[in-house]
Amino acid sequence: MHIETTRFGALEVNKDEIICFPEGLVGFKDSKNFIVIPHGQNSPFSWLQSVEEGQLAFVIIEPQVFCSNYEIKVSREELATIELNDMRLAKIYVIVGVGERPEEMTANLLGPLVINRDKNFGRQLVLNSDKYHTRHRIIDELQRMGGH
Amino acid sequence: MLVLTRKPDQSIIIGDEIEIVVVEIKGDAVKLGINAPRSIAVHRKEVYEAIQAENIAAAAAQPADLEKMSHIFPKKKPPKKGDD
Repeated sequence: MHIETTRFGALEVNKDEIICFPEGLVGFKDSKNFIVIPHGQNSPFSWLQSVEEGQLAFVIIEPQVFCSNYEIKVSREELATIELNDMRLAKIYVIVGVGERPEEMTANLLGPLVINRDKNFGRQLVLNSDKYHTRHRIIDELQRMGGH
Repeated sequence: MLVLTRKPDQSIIIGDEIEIVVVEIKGDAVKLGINAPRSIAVHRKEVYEAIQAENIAAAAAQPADLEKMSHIFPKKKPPKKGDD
C-alpha cells in the first residue's frame, strides 16, 4: 500500500511490514499502525513511522547497542495484549530523544517498545522501575559499556 | 472531579470492574490496592506523564538530526573471510 510521509516522502509498504500497536503509544493512543524504517546501512538507528499519520515518526534503537544489561520486568498480563508468551520472541526498541549534539542524545529506558515479531503486534510498556528513567544519555551508556 | 473520603479497608468501585481499596494509611502516604481487568493498565501518574512527555518531545526528531549522531557508535566489524 502507498503511504505519504513528511520525512521520507511517498513509500510503498507491504501489509506484512505493518506493526499494529492496539493501544497506540503513550500520548498517541490513536496511532496504531507503524512500520520500521532503518535509518541507513551503517546506522544503529531506525524510524518508527506511523502509517496513518505521515508527520508522526520516532527514532528508535535496540537497547543492547548501548546497554548490555537492560532488563525488562514485565507480567504476563502486560504481554497478553500483544499475544506474546515468550519474551525471547520479542523485539525490543527504545525511543530516542535527539538533542542539538550527539552528547545530548537520550534513550527512554522506562517506556520500551516490545514487538511480537511473529504476529507484528507492538506495545509501549510503562516499567515499574527505579533503575530506569526516560532520558538516559546514550553516550554515557556507551562509555560505561566500553569499560567492561 | 469526584472526591470521596475513605478510611482504611474501604473501597471505591469504578464501573463494574475496577475497584480501588485503601489498604493502609501511614503518615502522609496512602497505600492503594487496585483490582482491575488485566487488559487495563494501571500506572503511577507521574511515570505515565514522563513517558508521554518524552514521546511528544521525541516525535520532533528529523533525519538530519541523526546524521551527526551515528559516528559515536563503534563501527561494525566487517565479517572475516570464510564466515557466512
